[in-house]
Amino acid sequence: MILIFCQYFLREFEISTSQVTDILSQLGFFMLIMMLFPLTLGPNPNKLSEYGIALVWIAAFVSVVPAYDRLFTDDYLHGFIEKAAHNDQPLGCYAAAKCLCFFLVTTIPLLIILPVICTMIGLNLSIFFELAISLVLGLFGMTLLGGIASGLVLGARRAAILAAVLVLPLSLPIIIFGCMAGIALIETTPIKPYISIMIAMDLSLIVLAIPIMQLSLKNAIENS
Amino acid sequence: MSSSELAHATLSFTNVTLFRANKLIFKNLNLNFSSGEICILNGPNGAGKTSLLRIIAGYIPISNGMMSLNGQMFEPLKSHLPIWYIGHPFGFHPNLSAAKNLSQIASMRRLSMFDEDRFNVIDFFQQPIRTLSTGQIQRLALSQLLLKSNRQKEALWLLDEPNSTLDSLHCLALETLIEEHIKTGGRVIVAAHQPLCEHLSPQIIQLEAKP
Amino acid sequence: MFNYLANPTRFRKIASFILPFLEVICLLSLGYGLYLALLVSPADYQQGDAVRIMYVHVPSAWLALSSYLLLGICSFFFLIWRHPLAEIAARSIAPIGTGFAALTLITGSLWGKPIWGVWWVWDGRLTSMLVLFFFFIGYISLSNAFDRSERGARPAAILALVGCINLPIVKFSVDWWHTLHQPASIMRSGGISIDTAMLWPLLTLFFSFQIFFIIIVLTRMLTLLNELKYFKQISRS
Repeated sequence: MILIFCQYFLREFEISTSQVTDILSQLGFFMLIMMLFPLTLGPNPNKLSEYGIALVWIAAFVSVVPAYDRLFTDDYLHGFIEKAAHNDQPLGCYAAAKCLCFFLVTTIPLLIILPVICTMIGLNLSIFFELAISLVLGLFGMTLLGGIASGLVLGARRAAILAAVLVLPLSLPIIIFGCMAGIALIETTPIKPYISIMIAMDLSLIVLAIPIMQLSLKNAIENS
Repeated sequence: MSSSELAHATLSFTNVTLFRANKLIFKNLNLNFSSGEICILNGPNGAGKTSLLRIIAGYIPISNGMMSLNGQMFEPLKSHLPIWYIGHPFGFHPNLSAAKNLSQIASMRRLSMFDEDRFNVIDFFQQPIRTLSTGQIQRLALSQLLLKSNRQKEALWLLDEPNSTLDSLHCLALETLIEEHIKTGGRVIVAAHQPLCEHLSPQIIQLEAKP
Repeated sequence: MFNYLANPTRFRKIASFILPFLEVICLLSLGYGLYLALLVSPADYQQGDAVRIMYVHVPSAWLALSSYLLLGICSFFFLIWRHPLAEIAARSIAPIGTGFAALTLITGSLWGKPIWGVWWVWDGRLTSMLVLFFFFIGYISLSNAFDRSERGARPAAILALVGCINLPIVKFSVDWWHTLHQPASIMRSGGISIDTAMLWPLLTLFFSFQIFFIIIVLTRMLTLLNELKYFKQISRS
């Protein structure tokens, strides 16, 4: 099982490294959204740093959500998923590897430019580490939800916008607790409870999302 | 079922009916596919050739009836019988090279690379799939059947229009490959418009188009 | 019992038999409930007559929530036993649930204007209802997003189940968020400390809304069944 998982993961990794422009454009999108906030809220540094955490969260979410419909669509259209159904391991293994790779590929570049973004909107860099942890936990859960949505919309019309419509209401708990962790950071109250809740949500999402993705992928094959 | 039993098992359809999107594709189909036999599905477009292959591959559930292997219920995706469905879309990623795609499939299904390059895929092995022609992709897809393992002998091959885009040289290679496979007890089911392997006196199944 | 009712022909027979009775019950209880709510029940000493919006608002909210639950149950039956009637039920419930959720939001906003002075307040209950509304919207758009209509049934059913699991978590997190940002400054509508003079019309109206809901769902189900039968006949001839 672990061997096959690694195989799938390597395959995904090779595919995403062959499409570096996708990663870069998503990163550019993130920075552009961040640039919009000072232009709309005004350049007042106090105001910006007050809202900073929420802005980072919104920009991170908005920049990854449009990518979710791509998660399984390519492999579905190329027929890879139905071929993978004949491998010894269940499709859930494939889905998990795909989500993990997608998560790493979207999150790591974001974390790399996060310090720059933080300085630009006047967030204190001392909270950077905790902010990064909460963002990583949030985006991990988001990726699993995105995987569910992406599996469900396979073969649908206008799948991209539909996936976004499905993901955002489902992801409210994540964004709420993520932002609360951020607020607690600024107010220097303990953020541990929020982080624990987010870890709990992520873990239960792993258990929940993998069988659901497997079910929806199987269903998509039956109807292709 | 042990693998020696699997090797000689007969795959049979009893009263298989398939509806897709409230449309009847075929009704009460009774078929037998024994090992060491090639079976050719014939019929006009829309008669259900691809659907039949996809049923056997386990992609489409049947609406009614039963699919069995030696009298036991046959669930293709859970069975130990190795199944190769070679049909469009082939499952290759357009950005990766032919070699990469093939070696990924080999490692995922725990097979080793072939020794004999019968479909001459070496010529374009390092090129990404998106630069290949339809015939070349077809040859690469058929090369999957050459991948080796000790269980490949009994494998069930489901080939959807394998020879429609091949040149005569590679058609011949395909025929030889099929002949060798059924001589060692394999099963081959082909949906084809062009004649294939006529010297092996294949079982021909004529599917009819529904109005 | 379930299997007995799950036969479409039998279902159609029973449903068309009980529908007229339900309609009579609904009309009577609605009339009585409205009489109680609008004329008999006292006006609130703080809110005045505006409190009467509650008699529409609260039953709609209960119904919106319970119809999502029912949607989840039907989807579960459809996923496990692949029963077509469960799918038809789910498809019939979804737009009605959306309607009740929208009604809750609208009446909540109308009620909010005289009480809070603004049309919309990010109150915990209203916010969760808004999320519920989006869950319904997601369900409906997913089930209609495919070229072949029956193709959307299973993805939508899976989504409804995920939503059912997610809904309590959303409720919990929204409550948490709400207490953090606005510590108990807003009056709680329809709490336990409600006077019997108000409780009685509320329950009567809730009952009549419930019957109304059943009537519409049954009618929609019958229509969808007839439509299915009609298309089958067309494709055969």
